[in-house]
Amino acid sequence: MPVAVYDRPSDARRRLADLGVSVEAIINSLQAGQVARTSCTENDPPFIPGTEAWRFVVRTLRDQLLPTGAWRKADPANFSLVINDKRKISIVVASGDAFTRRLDDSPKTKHLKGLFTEALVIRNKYIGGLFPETLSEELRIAVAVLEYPTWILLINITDDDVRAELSYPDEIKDGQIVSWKERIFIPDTADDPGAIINPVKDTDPDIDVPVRRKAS
Amino acid sequence: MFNKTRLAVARQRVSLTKTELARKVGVEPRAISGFEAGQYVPSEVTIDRISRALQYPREFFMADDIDIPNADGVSFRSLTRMTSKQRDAAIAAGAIAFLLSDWLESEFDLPVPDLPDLREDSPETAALSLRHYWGIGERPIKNMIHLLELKGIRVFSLAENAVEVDAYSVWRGERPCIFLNTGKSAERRRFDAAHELGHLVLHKHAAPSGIDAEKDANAFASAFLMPAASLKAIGRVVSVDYLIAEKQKWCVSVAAMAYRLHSLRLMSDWNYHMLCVDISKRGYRKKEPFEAKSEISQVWQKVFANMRSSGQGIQFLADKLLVPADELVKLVFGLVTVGLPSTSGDLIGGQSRAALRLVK
Repeated sequence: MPVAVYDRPSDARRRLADLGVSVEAIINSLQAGQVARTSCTENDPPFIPGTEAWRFVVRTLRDQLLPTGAWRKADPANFSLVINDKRKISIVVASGDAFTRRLDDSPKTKHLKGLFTEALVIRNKYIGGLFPETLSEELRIAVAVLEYPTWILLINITDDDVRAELSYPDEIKDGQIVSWKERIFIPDTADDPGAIINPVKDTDPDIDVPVRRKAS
Repeated sequence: MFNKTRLAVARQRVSLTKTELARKVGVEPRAISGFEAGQYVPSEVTIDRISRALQYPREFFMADDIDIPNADGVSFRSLTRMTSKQRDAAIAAGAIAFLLSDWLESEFDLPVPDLPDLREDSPETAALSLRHYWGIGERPIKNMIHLLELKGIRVFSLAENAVEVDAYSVWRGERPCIFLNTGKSAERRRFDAAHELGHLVLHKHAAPSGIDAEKDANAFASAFLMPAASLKAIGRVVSVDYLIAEKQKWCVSVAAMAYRLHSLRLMSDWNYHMLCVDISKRGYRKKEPFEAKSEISQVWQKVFANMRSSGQGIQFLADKLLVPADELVKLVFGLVTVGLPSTSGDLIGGQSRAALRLVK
């Protein structure tokens, strides 16, 4: 099945609006993730910067979405979701590989593994509720716990770069999600002056100091 | 109507005493004092002579009152080494900068100031808080000027050709302004910029008081440019070569790096002493080793590019603000990489042209 990719900022914004997801909330979360990452020092255990980035994206996303009243959170078996009952969707945050938000290949999830990851792919595939009979009891329960189709906010945050996409998983292989039905690229400043991202990058030309002539 | 405040600014900008100006204009010294105090109004002929003597357009003296930075709110690090002439000239540059800043704000949309008031904090805590508030984390600050501009601080150059005049900062209402001497090493300029940032967040609307305020601003600059938590991860530094690798990473002078490491107890007193001797012996106090690339302004760069694209040059701006073009060039000297546009599309000619340089 062909993947629907929303790589142009205007298309991405439109699609996110369809889903009831605030672009600004996502962008703020990504910024918080990068700040958390860059607040680590070389004396932190090596896995911490990545974990901290992920943790702050999850927290900040919840900080912003929950007060709107449209979203709630759930953490079945530590699978941290935000859920929108009206739109009937859930979102989970996961680290993506270097192909996150890149057109030249399909990204894979890095650490999102385990029962619920498998369950969400099944849940997304069989929206009607007719699951294969071969499912284990454990997986069947996990699928049932996931009330709605789940989107993954794939994040790839480094010291110098922040890339993210909200994508609808399709196939899982060896515990990693490897293909997607839809990919919505989260806009950044490079192609969308409306979005401010990468507050930490401040070398020429990374920091962009907005200077605009006033309309006369 | 002749404006007394403008006479003082123009006179101080060209570094003339009242007596010296009186001699050039051919009046009694007390006449100049009288004009500046508003006791007398100069005759039309005298205004012409003043205009010629100071090389300021006649119209400059006839315009509205000019805002001059309040001298009490301005702190200079090396005040004791400065002459009052140098100090007055630097402050008067602020008055011209305010004119330029007003024009900038009327023509362009720019970042709004985003500086917390941290006067209750110690310099170390304030530096950490500001890093947190601005989301910089624990990483080196790659470009101080861009960061300041992004946070709504107006950055000007102090092209005073005097090392004694290092830098100063001032609030104009809610708009923070920093003036940097662009004739120094890139590392010194960054430290000056961070030092002035310290004054802005630690001493907002309160007159900085002498040496303590300067010490605070230095401690702030040191902590802001070299955050403690990251330096603790370096371990012990015992050689100048290691010090140089670190100073390049944080983009500070080798002396500032050593001082910071010592103050964080990451270097023994003995080690610090030996390194200081070595730094002096190698001449690093006079000539920074592996000097970084000078930082330039994004705001001025973009503004002048925009002006150029609409066929406007520095002379157009000078005519609009009624000031000599030279004065405007000085305020952005070293902060822009390209020659400033003039009305004829060329670089500015004559003397100012020689003052422009390409910063690579």
